[in-house]
Amino acid sequence: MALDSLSGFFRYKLGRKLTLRIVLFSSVVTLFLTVVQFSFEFNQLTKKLDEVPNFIEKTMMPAIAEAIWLDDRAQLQKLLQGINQLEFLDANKLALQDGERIEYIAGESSFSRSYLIEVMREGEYLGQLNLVVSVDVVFKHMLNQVYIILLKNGFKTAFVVFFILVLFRSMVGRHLLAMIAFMKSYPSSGDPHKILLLERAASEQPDELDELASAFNELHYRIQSESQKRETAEGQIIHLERVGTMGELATSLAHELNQPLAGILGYSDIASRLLNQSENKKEELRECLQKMGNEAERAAEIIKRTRAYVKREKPASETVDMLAVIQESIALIAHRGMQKNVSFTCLAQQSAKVDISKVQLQQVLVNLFNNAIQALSSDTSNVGQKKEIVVELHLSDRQVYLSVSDNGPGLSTEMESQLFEAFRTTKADGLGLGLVICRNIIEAAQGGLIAENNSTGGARFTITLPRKDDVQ
Amino acid sequence: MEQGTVFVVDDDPTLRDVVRMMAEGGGYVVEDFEDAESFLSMFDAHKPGCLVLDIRMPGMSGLALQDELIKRQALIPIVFITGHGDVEMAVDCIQKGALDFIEKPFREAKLLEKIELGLLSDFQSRTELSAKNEVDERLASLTAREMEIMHMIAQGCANKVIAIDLGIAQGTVEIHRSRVMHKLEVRSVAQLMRLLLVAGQLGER
Repeated sequence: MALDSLSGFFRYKLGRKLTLRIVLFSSVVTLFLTVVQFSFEFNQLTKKLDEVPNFIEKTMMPAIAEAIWLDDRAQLQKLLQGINQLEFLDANKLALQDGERIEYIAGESSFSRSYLIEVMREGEYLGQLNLVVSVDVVFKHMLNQVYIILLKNGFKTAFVVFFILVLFRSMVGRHLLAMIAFMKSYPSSGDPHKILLLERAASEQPDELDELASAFNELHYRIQSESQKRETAEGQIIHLERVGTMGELATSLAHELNQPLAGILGYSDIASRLLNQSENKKEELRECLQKMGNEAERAAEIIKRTRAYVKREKPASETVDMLAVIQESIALIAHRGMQKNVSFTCLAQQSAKVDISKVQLQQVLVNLFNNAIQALSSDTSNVGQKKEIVVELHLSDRQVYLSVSDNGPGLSTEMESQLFEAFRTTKADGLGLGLVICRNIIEAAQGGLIAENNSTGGARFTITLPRKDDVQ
Repeated sequence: MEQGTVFVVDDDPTLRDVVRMMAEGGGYVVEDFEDAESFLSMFDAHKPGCLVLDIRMPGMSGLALQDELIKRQALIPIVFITGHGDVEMAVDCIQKGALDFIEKPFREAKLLEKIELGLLSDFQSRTELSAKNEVDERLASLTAREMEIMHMIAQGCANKVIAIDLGIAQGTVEIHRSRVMHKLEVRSVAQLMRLLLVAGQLGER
């Protein structure tokens, strides 16, 4: 279990980094301590070694001098052998004044020190004793020490690292992983009220991690409420823009309503005349009243359509029929087009369904139509030429392409580059938000809106939207 | 008086229907068309009538149709149907010679009144036209010298003055004068003046 979590932790960079750094640091510390200990012990030992000749000089030198003086060979050899038995001593070589040399060699070492002690008796020089003290033994001794220290420290470090890792994982690591997982799932997590909860033991005192989690939750909440506010504001702007075009639609609406009104008034006059006529005109009268009703219905339909367009509603995505929306949008603005002598042509082989707020798609189309009408009516270069807006609907397996093109003056290079920037406008009374909002609406529905010039002149706006009907 | 036809051109089927029912109720013969082009293809300048025309239509508008009729020198009186806010356009039409306009929505009596006026105006202009044509024929039969003398008579010159001005005998002037009066079928200078008024030749010199 601990190993599992350890290996799990090792998969993460933080665990690897932490391990590496602890090992590195503890190695450096161990080495440093070892060196300190080594040098300390080395000093101790050399001091000890230095004491060996002193000790010999003090304790044995008078006896040796006496033996030399008395020329007592047996005694001398006993003494020298005795010296040779001492620890650390490799060899002792006695060189007498008369040239005689007595040597005892206990062993050979690569590192050794030699001390010279003069043999004196009552101020008379008798010879000198060369003591060879081995440092090898010291080194060996100390190396053993170092091995033990390193081994001990190695084990200790490994255990400590292991323990720290396990501790770190259970106290910090898994919470970090939980936080990362939560934050990564944040934009797609369906529930906006979901909060980050750490799995902590109930007995545990709150610490920085809990603070971090609660700070994150607070931030998360603030972002949520801000983005909600932003969404509301965007919806309001889109709605305002739609209401803004109402001024332009109003003349269209008045003209359109005038038709059924004229019908109703006309039929009512005719009906009264029929009533006053002496012969029985019951059948004609009935027909007339029927037509009056139809006209009233037509008027109601126009009002309903316009009302739906300006109504403030929460923009909800729905599956809409493209062709129907195109036709309704043209109906909203056709009269205005007629006023400016602009005609509409709709070219579509077949309709398709897309997911978008219907009213907002209408808004986009009305905007594009309005722009085209304005471009066409402000264009004075092609007097006498037929002014036309062509709406085309093309389908691919996954996409719907809707293009609105006109045969007006087209887009200048300058216009084209800043077409979708906010507050850029070529109109005297425009805010410069129309196309920005159009693009936002289309992009919110996972689509795209581009502008270009037709090869035959005039501007062309193309909307791309993902198809939502069953495609085989 | 030959009964004129009421021609209706409007893209809106309801309006066409309403105008047709109103005009037929008023006892007129009605022919309606859904666009300017089909009207033009059927149009016969010799057929008396008046035109009730929607000012705004997709394709060829009412204004464009009026221009086309002016180009063809057709005299048919036009009553335009306008929406509100089309006053400027309506004024424009009147200046170009349209008879009148009627604003949507309109009452039956008002429309019938305008149709009546339109047909009357058509009748008058046709009568005037035929009168003028006849006068023009008579005037065309005069010789250059007779024409000269006729104008001097119309200016109120006496035979003596004409003879002196043209350097001819007074008797010759009298012969020319009686020929002019005979050819133009008038008996007095006053009748001659009226004839010239119809021909539009009065005060030209």
